[in-house]
Amino acid sequence: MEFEGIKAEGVEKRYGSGASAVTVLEGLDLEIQPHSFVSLLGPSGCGKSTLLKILGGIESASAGDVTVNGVPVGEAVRRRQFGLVPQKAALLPWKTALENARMLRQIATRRKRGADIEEAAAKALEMVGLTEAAHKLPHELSGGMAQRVSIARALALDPQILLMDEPFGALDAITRDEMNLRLADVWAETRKTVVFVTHSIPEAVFLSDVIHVMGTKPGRIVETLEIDLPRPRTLEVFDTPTFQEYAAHLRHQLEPKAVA
Amino acid sequence: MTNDSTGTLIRKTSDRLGRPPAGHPAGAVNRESVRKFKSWLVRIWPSAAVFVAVVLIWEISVGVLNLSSFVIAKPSEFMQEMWISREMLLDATWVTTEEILQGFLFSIVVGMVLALALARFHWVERALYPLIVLFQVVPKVALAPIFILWFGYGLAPKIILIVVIAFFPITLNMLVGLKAIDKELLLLMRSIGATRNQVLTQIQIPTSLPYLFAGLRIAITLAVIGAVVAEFAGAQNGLGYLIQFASTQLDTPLMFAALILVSLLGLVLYYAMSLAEYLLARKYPHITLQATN
Ligand SMILES: Nc1ncnc2c1ncn2[C@@H]1O[C@H](COP(=O)(O)OP(=O)(O)O)[C@@H](O)[C@H]1O
Ligand SMILES: [Mg+2]
Repeated sequence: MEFEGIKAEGVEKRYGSGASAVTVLEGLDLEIQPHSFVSLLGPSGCGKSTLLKILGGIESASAGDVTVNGVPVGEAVRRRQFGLVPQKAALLPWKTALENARMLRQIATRRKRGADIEEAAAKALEMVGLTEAAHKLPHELSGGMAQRVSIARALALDPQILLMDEPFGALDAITRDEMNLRLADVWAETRKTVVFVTHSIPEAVFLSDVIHVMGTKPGRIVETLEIDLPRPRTLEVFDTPTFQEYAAHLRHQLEPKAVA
Repeated sequence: MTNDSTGTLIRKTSDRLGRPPAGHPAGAVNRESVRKFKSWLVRIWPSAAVFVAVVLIWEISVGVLNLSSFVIAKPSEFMQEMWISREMLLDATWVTTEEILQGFLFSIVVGMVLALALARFHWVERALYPLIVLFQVVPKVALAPIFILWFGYGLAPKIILIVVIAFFPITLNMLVGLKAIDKELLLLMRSIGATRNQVLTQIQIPTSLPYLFAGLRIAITLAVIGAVVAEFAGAQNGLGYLIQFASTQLDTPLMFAALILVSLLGLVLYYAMSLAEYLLARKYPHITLQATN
């Protein structure tokens, strides 16, 4: 069956009940094309992480539907279609990079060993450029390397969809550029559908095919912008007028509106 | 160490967290261990010196003040006593060791099963946790005579008293460890549709191991206390029994000899626990833990 992407219709998310209830997401419709790189861009606290968790079946919506490939998202989770890269690397400190890369696939398949597990983990580490560091423990890795292991751990699942929640948010600017380049390469190689949460405008423009700009209170999508920049993209893209136009437009879109 | 660890405080030593486990390049090992031994000597000598000084002052002042050996024995006296009564003392040491080890083993089982049940099932936690904490208020030493009454003078009341005293720090510390799960790891597990049992066995239990061992280190010393108290309450052999017997006979040197042996036993068992931790769980972060009252 051809992969159809993700559809969200009328998604709503409330926390709490009664007078203290907060509506985090409201009336949210979203369509994510298969094999595209999609960013959710918005200010802190607008509900990006919440939306990502709902799209990945990690949390349930208060109302609305999410379907993946035509089936409810819960079923997609059972079919192991998601690979999550959380904000912190969250590696198990007693496992090496390679063991960490294997871990989720082992748990998901309920098998400790298997040629497929070994192969997938080794290949995933290679893809993020960490074959050399395979036998290092997390505390021997830099922040950027730890995040790459986290990405490898998701890739080793061989999911259809990668969910990434500000994975480079805690890294310094130079490492971040490097990681973005690498992620663009990985994406070009695997063509996974990626849903990427960020609050960085340049990062979103650089990586994405489509950017969904989110507004706050309650969280919703205020604009969907297609990024028409040629691939493969290199760091020079940052200096092109088209890139700057996109960035300026998004900055304007995200600016806190002056109170009249 | 106190016999009530309700207010147990757990602290990670950040400098030990994330240190590489053993795995030095070959050849460096020898130099490394020599260096370690030297730094150990440097650390140990002040307390060794104080210890020797105390023993000397004790020996001399008992002689100078001309205190009766009914009140306090000289170190030389009870060392002598230890040698003279060595067979009886060794026998008693063995009896007490057996009680402690069996009681400790049962404490581990009870403590771990409780911690796992509390962490895994909310209803168990809601039903039992307040009761367990409440039970900590009971001065368990006072239960010793009751257990003797119910279970006789054999091994059973000793084991039961030890379990009652020692299971709590095991349960409490392991429970803290089981709940110390990283939020993002939990998200990862949910993203692949992992079951609660998988989260428990794959993430929570390994994470809890250092906490468990911290609890075991407390529990082993409590087990020694439990054995001695149970023997005070009623026994036919053992170091606690000897201490009490010697005190009724006003045989102070024997009393001190048995007391020294109990303390040594506690020390040896404590370090055996640390060794077990090193062998079984050295790759997990080390937790330092303090029992407070
Ligand atoms: N479990 C929760 N209970 C109550 N409020 C929550 C919870 N999770 C998130 N929120 C609220 O929802 C809003 C959106 O959070 P989040 O999705 O993390 O935003 P973002 O990722 O865009 O920074 C925030 O205001 C946050 O306080
Ligand atoms: Mg967030």
